[in-house]
Amino acid sequence: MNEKMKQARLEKNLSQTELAKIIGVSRQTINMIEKNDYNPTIGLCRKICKVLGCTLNDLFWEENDV
Amino acid sequence: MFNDERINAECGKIYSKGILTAVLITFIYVLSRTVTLAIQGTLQTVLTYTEAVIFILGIGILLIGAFRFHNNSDERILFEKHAFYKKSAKIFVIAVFGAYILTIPFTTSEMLGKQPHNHLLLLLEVIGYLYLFYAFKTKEININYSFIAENGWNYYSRVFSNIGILWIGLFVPFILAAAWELALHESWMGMLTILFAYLSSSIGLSVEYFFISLTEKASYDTIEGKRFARGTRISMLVCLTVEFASTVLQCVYVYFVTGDLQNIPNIGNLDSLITFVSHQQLRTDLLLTVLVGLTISHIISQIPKNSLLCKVCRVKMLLLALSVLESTLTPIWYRALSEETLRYLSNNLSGWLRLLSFVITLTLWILFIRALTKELGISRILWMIPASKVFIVCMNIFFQSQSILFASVCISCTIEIASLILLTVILWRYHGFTAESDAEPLFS
Repeated sequence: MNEKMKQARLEKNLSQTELAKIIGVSRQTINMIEKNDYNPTIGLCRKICKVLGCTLNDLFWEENDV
Repeated sequence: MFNDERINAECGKIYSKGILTAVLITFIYVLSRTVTLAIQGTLQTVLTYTEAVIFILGIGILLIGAFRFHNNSDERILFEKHAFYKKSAKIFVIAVFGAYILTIPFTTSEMLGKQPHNHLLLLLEVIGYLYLFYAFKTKEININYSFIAENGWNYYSRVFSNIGILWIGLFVPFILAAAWELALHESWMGMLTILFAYLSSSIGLSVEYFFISLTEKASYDTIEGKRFARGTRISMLVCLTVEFASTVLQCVYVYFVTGDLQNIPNIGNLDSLITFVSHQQLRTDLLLTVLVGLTISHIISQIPKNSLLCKVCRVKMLLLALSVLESTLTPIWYRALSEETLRYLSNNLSGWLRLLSFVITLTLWILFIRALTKELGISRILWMIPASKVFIVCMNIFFQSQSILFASVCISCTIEIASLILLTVILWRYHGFTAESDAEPLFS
């Protein structure tokens, strides 16, 4: 589960549907990214970060990743 | 603008596999028919125009895709690849339907005895539906994914505008085909038949698309609850209705075929009536196959992917597709066999095949009920369904006399319908899905 992304989304008071609508993807895609069932491209990750006001490091990089 | 990279990627894969499946099915169909015609000594042509288009375009798309995008490591190339297959699939479908419609005036003679020349297209349509339902729902993609999140009014406006596009899109090739028919054969009746085919095709496809859209939207809006989504429940109910219609047709067929001629009211063209009922029953069974496929794919989208229930549903989808293939090809194969061979097969093999079919059906029911009771905690009363199936088989073994065949079929059909009503009621009333803490639908 990508808890960091879910947390960032909830802090912005956005539902999966709202976030999906802003980015222009489906609700299911956001759901699958949060469940770690889909590996998004950097482009999509950047869009998500922009809307949630975070960096790629904040949301998608594990602490022990290099 | 809606541009979801995950959906684009999955659609690309789904469409490329879909084209491959269509080519393979066409190959099996053409091979079966050609061998049969060769044995009969009536082989005049190997391919129809539509089949030629399927082979040339299908194989062409797959070869171009394989050569052009053989390096899969680059993300940009992957995007291009998915976009290529998405666009190619649209062209493929339009070209196949277009070729079929435009060549109607040239293919009005039947290809194989009573085999209608749209047989292959019907087979591809039904298997295509099953494949698309399964592929889309297991990947959690809605068929109307680009506007499913919109409110009801906007959603149905888009659905109806798509239906309008479908009517206009079909009108062009059909009107051209009608003009061809008039110019070539100077047949007003032929032209009217083609225009009638336009109406029936457009109405049929529109109703199918509308129903799929309706269940999809109903599921999308209600999937977060503790129940089976509304779309699933609507599909179940329609399945039950069509199954009932199919059962009535079966009973009517058996009544006329096995009944005492003196007891049957004096009906003109009894033979035509029996043929008509038999055709309607086949159509109803094909419709039922598509509806069962739709219902199962809705169920798959709401249950965990690694569960026994999901595996059983996947096997059922495969069996549905195989049964359609088998029921289309068997009449063709039978034509290649001599009467003696057919009699031998009928006496020695058909009983074993029926037994095999029953064992597979029963096993699947047992696994399905076991998964429902263990994984979803649904009432064990459902075990009555496989028990009733065993009862029907035992009854048919003991009551084989021709004079009570009609009564026996009626009892069997009533038990079948009662079982399905029981299943529908229990799944309809089910309230056991756990709600997510995030209040977001998990399995949408």
